Amino acid sequence: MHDLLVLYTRYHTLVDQIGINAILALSLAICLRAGQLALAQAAFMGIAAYIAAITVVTYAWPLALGAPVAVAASAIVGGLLALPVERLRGVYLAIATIGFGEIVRIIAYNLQVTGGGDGFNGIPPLLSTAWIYATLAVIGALLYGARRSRFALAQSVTREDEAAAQGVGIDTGRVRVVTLAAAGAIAGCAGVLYAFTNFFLTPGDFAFGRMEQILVYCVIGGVTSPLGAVAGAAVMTILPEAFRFLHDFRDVLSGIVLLLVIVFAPGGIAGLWKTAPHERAHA
Amino acid sequence: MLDILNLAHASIFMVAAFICLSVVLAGYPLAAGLLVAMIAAGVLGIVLDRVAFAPLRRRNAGTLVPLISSIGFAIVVEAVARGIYGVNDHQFPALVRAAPPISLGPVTFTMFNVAILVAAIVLMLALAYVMRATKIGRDIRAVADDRIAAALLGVDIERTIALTFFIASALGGAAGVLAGLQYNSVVFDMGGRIELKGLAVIILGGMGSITGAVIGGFILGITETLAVTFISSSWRDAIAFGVMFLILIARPAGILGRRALRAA
Amino acid sequence: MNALTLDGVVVRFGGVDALGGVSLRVDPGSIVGLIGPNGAGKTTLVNATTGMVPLAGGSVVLGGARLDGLRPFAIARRGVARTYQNIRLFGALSVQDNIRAGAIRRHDTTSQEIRALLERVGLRDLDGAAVASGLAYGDQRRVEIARALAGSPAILMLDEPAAGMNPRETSELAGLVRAIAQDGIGVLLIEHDVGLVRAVCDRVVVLNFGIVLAEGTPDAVARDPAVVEAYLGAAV
Repeated sequence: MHDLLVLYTRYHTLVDQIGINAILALSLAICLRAGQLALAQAAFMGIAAYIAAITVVTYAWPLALGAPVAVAASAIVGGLLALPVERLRGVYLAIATIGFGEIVRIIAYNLQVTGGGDGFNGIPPLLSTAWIYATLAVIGALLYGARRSRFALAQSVTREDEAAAQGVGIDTGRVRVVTLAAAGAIAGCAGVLYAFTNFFLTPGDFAFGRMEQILVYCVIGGVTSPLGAVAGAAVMTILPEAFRFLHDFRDVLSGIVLLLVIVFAPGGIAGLWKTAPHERAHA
Repeated sequence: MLDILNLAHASIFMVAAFICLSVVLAGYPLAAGLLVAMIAAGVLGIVLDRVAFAPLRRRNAGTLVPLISSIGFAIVVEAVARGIYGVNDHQFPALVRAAPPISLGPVTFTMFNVAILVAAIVLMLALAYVMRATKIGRDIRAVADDRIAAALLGVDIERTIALTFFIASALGGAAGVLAGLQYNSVVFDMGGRIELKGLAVIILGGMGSITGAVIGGFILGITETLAVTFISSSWRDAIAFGVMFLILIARPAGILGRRALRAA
Repeated sequence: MNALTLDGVVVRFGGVDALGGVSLRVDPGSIVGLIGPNGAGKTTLVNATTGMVPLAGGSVVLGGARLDGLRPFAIARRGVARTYQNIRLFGALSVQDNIRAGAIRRHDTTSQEIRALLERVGLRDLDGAAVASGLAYGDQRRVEIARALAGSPAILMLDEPAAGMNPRETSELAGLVRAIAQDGIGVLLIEHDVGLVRAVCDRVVVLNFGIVLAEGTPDAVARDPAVVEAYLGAAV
């Protein structure tokens, strides 16, 4: 037990990061399950992080109020974003949502209230590792419990064949709106947790680089598998730390590992874990 | 044109700039540097295809996975560059850039800028010529249009794709050299700055349409300049992406997009 | 009455009239055959009815309510189900999930209901957990029909369901179609298989170049000179 405590003190930032990245991976995984390549999760995270930080630090709101408001805001933004991009698919949706992410980042960069390029300072450490993992557990449990629900089925069906999905009466537009709103909420949770365990926010924390990372977690994990996404987040967060001894070249190894997994392990971690037919019937 | 999103393009862009820089620093003329850089970029492009895309093509992996694969490749390339060249800015020697400024109305530029513009135009025209008037060009367009039909008609798919990557990467490399010259800065993460914009331009123009990409590029460039002039430079990128966003909403397959992705 | 009525339906692609004013009617419990050479507009007619392509003129009415102009999912919810010329199952999903998807709007389908539907289409012994894309062609077609039936439709449109089936399977299909109609569902059957059409259809509509060439009982239509000519003398 004492050893565990020593380990935790030394690596607790890493442990926090894994938890937050896992939540972010889940926020993308639900979109991918619906076949929706919407890459705005980093932006949703940023929106919630800044709103929570600003309301609590600048306007002295209690966290119990600021946090839900921030998460709700991200969810609403997500739902609203789904409307104009309704007709976009695949790479077009990807780039439009990436563009949205960039716009959000630049807004954060240019506003006074967010601290602009200098960042937002002085956030009290109101949340902790326990909060991160409790949130991850709750979100995970909710997603797991809903995996055989009609909505999850509607998502999978929309991904498989949108026209045939409409043919069985599924309002695919509504599926997309709800999915993106849920992604906003989940990423929003990650944002709030990030703000109050990191004390300091900059717009660059929520830029395309982070979005790329989230994508990597999901693909390594197995695209549509939430469990895989979490595993992917864990692996890809730990890896650069494990290779720290390589200094400048440690990213080389990360990149190589990424390529190896993609080329040689098609279903990602989830694919390696489950036997193929069982996994597919689940998707 | 091959329906893949290639995020490693920017890293090749950067490598080419470094290669040209190294050639010039070793005492050779700029033109030689450009040529060597373009060829090296082309070769690197083929390597990219072999390593990151070809194995995925064989198993029909969809849009997302190749994207990540290209990210992996980009990470490796950028990390190697950073390891070799360090994190600092590198500059082209003064000789290469010297030219007096000229004023034409409200716009100021130097012969150097003109040279870059001319080079860019020449390359675009060369690309257009290759695509329209040569067998390679026709093969590439055939594969882009309908891979299976092209294969049935005897086009060597893998070779054509490899060539497409060579050409695309060589051009990307040229862009890298030109950008490095224009801003007089060659640094390991220079790719990242243009990566998203480049992607946006391609998709905006409609994946698969070169003319569309060119038009998209012009629209983006003009929008950015107008934004900087009339609004403010710190909002430039936001406005550029905002315009792009609006255009995509109005035309979901890009401005000249010929291929609506699997019809809804 | 829950009849499907198409009145003067016009569909235009570019400058071409894929459908130039087609009228037809499917009553509950009846089986209407839709035949015609390839390119005549049969699938376009189904696509127009289900909202996948917009109408340039005319109307589509189900039981007194207009369907044209509604989005495809809304039309499906009103009780119009279909199968596709090139089977469009949700390939990566299991048979069970495909059928559950068919009924997704109404309720969550119990495994007994899934069993019952599979039995109805003649797949009593099929493993529900099997992945749809791995099934034999004939079985896939039947699962597609089961999926369509799962939503308890008022109208079922079958687009060349017998394609690629052997004679035994085709006669089983005929029995299935008759049973479906007996349950009160109005069936529109697009087919090239002459024997099947004769065997099950109450009425036949012949389409060519986007307009109705002839209409009536299978026998009457077979004798119609315009029809015979359209098929270049091939026996109908």
